Amino acid sequence: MQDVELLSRISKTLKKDIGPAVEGDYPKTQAFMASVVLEKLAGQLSSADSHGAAKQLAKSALAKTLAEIASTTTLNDELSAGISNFATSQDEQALCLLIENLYQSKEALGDERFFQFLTPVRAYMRMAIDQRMEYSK
Amino acid sequence: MSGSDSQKEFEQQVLRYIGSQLVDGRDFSLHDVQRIAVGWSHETWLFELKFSEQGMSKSLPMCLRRDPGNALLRELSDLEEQFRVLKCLEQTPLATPKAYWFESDPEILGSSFLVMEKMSGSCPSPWGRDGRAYYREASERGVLPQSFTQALATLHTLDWSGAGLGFLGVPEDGTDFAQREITKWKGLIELSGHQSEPILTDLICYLETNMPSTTRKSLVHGAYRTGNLLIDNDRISAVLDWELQVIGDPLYDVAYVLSDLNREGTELLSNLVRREAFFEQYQRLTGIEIDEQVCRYYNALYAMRSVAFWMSASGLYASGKSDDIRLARTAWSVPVVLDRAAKELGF
Repeated sequence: MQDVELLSRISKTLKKDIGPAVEGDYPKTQAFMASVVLEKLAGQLSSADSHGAAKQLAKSALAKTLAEIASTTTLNDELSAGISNFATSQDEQALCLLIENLYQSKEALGDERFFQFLTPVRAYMRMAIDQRMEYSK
Repeated sequence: MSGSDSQKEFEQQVLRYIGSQLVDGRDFSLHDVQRIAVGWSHETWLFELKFSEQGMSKSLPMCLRRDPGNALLRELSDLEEQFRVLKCLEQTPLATPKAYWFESDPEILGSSFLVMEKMSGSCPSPWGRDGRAYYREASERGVLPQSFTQALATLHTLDWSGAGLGFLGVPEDGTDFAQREITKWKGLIELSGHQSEPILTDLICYLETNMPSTTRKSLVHGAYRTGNLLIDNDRISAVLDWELQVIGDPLYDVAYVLSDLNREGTELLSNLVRREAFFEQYQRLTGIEIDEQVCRYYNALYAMRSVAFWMSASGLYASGKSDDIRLARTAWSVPVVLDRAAKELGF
């Protein structure tokens, strides 16, 4: 039996057989919540590989887009380093720092340039959160 | 020790404590003791205390809230503060439960606890089908929606300074109120130990860049909605859940009322009140003009608060500080509120 199937089956047993038989509000709620947790885990596990691959592609594309925008203008050192660090590491921490750099540079960049950088970042974040919403809702 | 032995011991300890407080009472007994599965931050017990005093039989419905030692938001709101707030509010026109005792000595029940009045009325959850139907029908009758807005207006116009609520902290005029809220929720996020979330970073940067300036100051409940309000005979009989209150901009509460966070499948605010009726009655009773742009900002702030809540909650389970599986489930609430945050930012 695959892990996902195992988790799903235990979740259903908790929901249909165990939960209703438990007495007391608090323990009953715990049983039903355990069922929900296993169901979420199963969903997350079943999509982990495909989501991971798509996310990595999107990150690489974002790094490329940001580098292209950066090449058309002069940036302060912090923002320039932020873009470069994200391109190298492509991790979430580096993206957070890049977003902070962007806001700190907002006045110097002006609204148009600021959103030119932020829009592709937000498009990536939308894609990433949509993936997580598939099993979180 | 079995669960029932443990409960009996708990009840005996409660009786000994109450006996030490009501020194003229005799023959104390607890009835209909139940731990209720609502709330996230503290254990809540309801019971009826029966005793005799000067030859008279008495009965007091009570609610006991105990700090489980790992409560959600415990860094931000403790039972002693709740007790102080309820005591202060007893002198105001706002209907709240009478606070009897706060006990900090962990030797008595294992941790600090608060005993307060259990007021008459019910508190239907707005999240289930039955609750939504209840509020929809109440909306059609028309009395409860007015009472909902009236209670909020009372809350926002009461003399918080005269009632002694200044201990909650009073923001300076300007952007200090928004800054304090952002700082508070950032602190909770940091404590949660949660990994970096780019949407949250974007949201916090947006909030710090766009703080509204205000001179308005009221007592702000922080979670004013159906589900946190006790209802008796189609009227709000008490405002409950004093865990997030601050002194600050009353529009912070108004934004929460206007938010679609607090309604499901209906345009009725908090599943109960027509928007136009709320605007008209609230502005008339308080003299406060509802600035929808400011409310939109506060809704983005609520998105940050929601992220902080769920990060904190799931962090408690992940760190082993709590065994409550409801907290484990909130790990999947984090993406849901991040999705909401992104929508508040327009993407």
